[in-house]
Amino acid sequence: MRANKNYVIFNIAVLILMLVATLYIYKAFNSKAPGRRIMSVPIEKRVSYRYITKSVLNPTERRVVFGETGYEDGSANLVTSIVVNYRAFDTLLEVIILFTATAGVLFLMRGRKRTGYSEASLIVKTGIPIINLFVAVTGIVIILQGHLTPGGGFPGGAVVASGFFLSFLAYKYKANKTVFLILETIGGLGIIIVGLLGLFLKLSFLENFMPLGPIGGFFSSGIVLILYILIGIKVSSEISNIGIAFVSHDEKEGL
Amino acid sequence: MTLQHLFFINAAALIFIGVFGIITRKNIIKILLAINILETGVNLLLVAIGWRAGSFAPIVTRVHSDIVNFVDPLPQAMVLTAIVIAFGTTAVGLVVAINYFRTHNSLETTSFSGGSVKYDEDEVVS
Amino acid sequence: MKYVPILLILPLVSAFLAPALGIVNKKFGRFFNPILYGLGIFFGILLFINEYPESHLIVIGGWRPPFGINLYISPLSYIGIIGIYLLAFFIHIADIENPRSSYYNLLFALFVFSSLGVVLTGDIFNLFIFLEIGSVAVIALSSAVSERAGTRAAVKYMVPSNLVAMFMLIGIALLYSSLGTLNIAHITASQSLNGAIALVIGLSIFTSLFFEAELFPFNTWVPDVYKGSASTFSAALSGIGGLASALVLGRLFLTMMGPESSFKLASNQLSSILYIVATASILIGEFSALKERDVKKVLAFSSVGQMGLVALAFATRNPLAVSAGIILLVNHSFAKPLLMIVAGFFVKTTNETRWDDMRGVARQYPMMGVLFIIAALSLMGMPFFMGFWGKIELVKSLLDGGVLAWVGFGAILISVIVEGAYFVRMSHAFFEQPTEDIKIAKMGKMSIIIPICVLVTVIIILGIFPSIMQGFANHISSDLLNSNGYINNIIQSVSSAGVEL
Repeated sequence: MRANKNYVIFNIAVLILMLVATLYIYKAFNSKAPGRRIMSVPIEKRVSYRYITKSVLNPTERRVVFGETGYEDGSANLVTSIVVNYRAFDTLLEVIILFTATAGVLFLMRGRKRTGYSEASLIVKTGIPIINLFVAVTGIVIILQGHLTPGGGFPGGAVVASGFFLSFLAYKYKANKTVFLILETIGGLGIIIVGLLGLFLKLSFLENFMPLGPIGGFFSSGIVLILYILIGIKVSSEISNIGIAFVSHDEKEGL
Repeated sequence: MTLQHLFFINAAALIFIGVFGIITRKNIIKILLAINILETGVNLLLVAIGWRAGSFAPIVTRVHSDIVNFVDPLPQAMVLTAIVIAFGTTAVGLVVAINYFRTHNSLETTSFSGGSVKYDEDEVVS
Repeated sequence: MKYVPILLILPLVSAFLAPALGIVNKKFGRFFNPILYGLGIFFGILLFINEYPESHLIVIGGWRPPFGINLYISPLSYIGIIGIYLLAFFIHIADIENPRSSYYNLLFALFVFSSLGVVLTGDIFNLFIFLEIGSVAVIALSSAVSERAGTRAAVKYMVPSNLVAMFMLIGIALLYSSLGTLNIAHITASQSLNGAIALVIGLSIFTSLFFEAELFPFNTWVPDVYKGSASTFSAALSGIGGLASALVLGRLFLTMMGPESSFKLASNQLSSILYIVATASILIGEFSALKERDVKKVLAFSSVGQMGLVALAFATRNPLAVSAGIILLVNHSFAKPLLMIVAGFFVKTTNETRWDDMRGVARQYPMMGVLFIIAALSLMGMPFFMGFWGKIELVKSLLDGGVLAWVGFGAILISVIVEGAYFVRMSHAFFEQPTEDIKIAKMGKMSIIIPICVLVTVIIILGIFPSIMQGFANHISSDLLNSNGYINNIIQSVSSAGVEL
């Protein structure tokens, strides 16, 4: 590697500058001047305390009990209640970022033909169908149980898509992009339609309009289950599309 | 030196390494790796902000019912989103790197003269 | 009033339909997208006529802020909605004879969606996600047309964009840990932050805003992206992107970091930093444009200088100066796309990219040359064009300021002279007698003439009757500077971060 002298001096200068900056920031965090400092707000005073006690509409001190009904939001998983109910618009935007990235990848990889293919070994070809069974079941369970256990549409969709990836790596076949594109469109339009139903049936976009059940039950959280299924379909088809663009052996020109 | 302090030091170290890598590396793949290290550090910082001593994971179960002693769930929701954003930008970044290699035949960005990439300043783009 | 979110998600309809319908029709969106943008203009004007000048809170998800996400309709957002949809419609029309693939139209619609979202939203994490959507769309679109210059441009945009986005996320994390909330109005209303910590958080959020607004330390991407992408996309980036990012800079700097907000102990230092950055952008932008030979890069550096002017106007925190800044911003957002579209057309007909290789091209297309000159005069600040009113108000307000304001005043004077020099030189080159070895092709120009005529009409009308624009600009500046009004409209009580709302 050419040890360009200017380059080495540049590296050392940047290192020294960053160390000085770190020192200043450290002193700023520990300054004793008046005003709020980092980590000065206990959880009881943050916005998320009202998410924990599910008391955004009326502030109370009532705690969330497993198995009871009558709360303003039905998910047992508090992170899901934030992601899909209280701050659902952020999740719609997250889905849109993934959609934008997929569209960007497909757009920039247009017109490529893959050259060269190395055959997968016998172990891979025999083992992949067995593994894919477990992968598919795990992924679908993670998607469906987003409001009861950690997980939801995003990790579950990624797990299902990894099953598709494995079969692209093992077999030489022409993956059909059309099916995934149609699934992606169905998922995306479904999310917008659910949001518009909230707008027309109730007062605002993405509001919950289905009845709630007991905390911990399967049908307990209103539109959370529907949204997570749609998000799972969309995420898995998008990541599989990215996989097709990178890995599979499409003989016709892409896009 | 509690667990939270360890998380903060770890996150700060990762952020430092990531920023240093982005500023000083020339190879595109190394820059993308440094971006991912930086994003991991920021995710650790976010998770560490929500921690509280002696609390449980924010899921109401049969065992952890009727308590308010949960870790802050809002930074965890932010981390979910940040991970998806990192995935999206890394995917597009890798495709841009592939395209760059196909046309320039090298993965070096030309921030220092003496690099091996030659390009035409007068290319016409309409 | 509750149907306003539909105005925001109009581009999404086309974007979500595009993957499936793109299989059937390879150029889907060529006629569908302008219909949606036109509907956006129509509904935006309807909303404006009914509701101006009141401000409204739109709740999303049914949970009131600060526990849910909200949109805020105010004079600032009217100019954002109508301006962005108008520019998107006409820039798309300029591209209609040169049909792009369905994915290009999809990404462009998502770029418009992200620019609308940053202007309308009231939650800082939401703002961060919108900025990321915009940045992914720009990376993909800027390397769409050219494989060499475009890909270099995409790399030069992508690396700093990810760095500053992560800095903004660090700022949001520190802000949440100090104040406990993510809503902009609630952050403004909270107890005051420690001075040093407010400075650190303010700087980390500033890096992202400066990158988007093409200001000094982060403007290395501007010339390469403007040159390497299609000229209609550069027009969109300067018009829509510049408008949205300057409005966001105004909202976060003037309202969230104002002297009555939780950032009050660091507010003066942040103003000084913005002064220095703006002055440096003006000087560096204009002087770099002076010695540049590539026509698209000249316009790119001129963009940097104009955004520096707007940032200087915002840094003074003076109502008259801020409204002058808004006038300059609208002037730039309508004049610069015009210049970029005409420049792109000239590049295509002569197949050259340096302006001194394009001598005489305007004699073949005189109308375009004249419109180019009109827009350039407006940017320079000639009397009776819109830029004049903005610059004169700004200069008057700067004379009342402190030392940094006097330095900014000097920078504006220098920049007027330098701008005059390079614009006059370039226009003279276009109208000269053509040299022998230039080949100017005859190309159809109908689809380009209509949009640039509309844009120049707007500039001329707002220049001859400045009171229209000044009225709007005064309302917008009072909306930006009135932190208490913003808080009261959204969370109905000026409380500390005790979250007992």
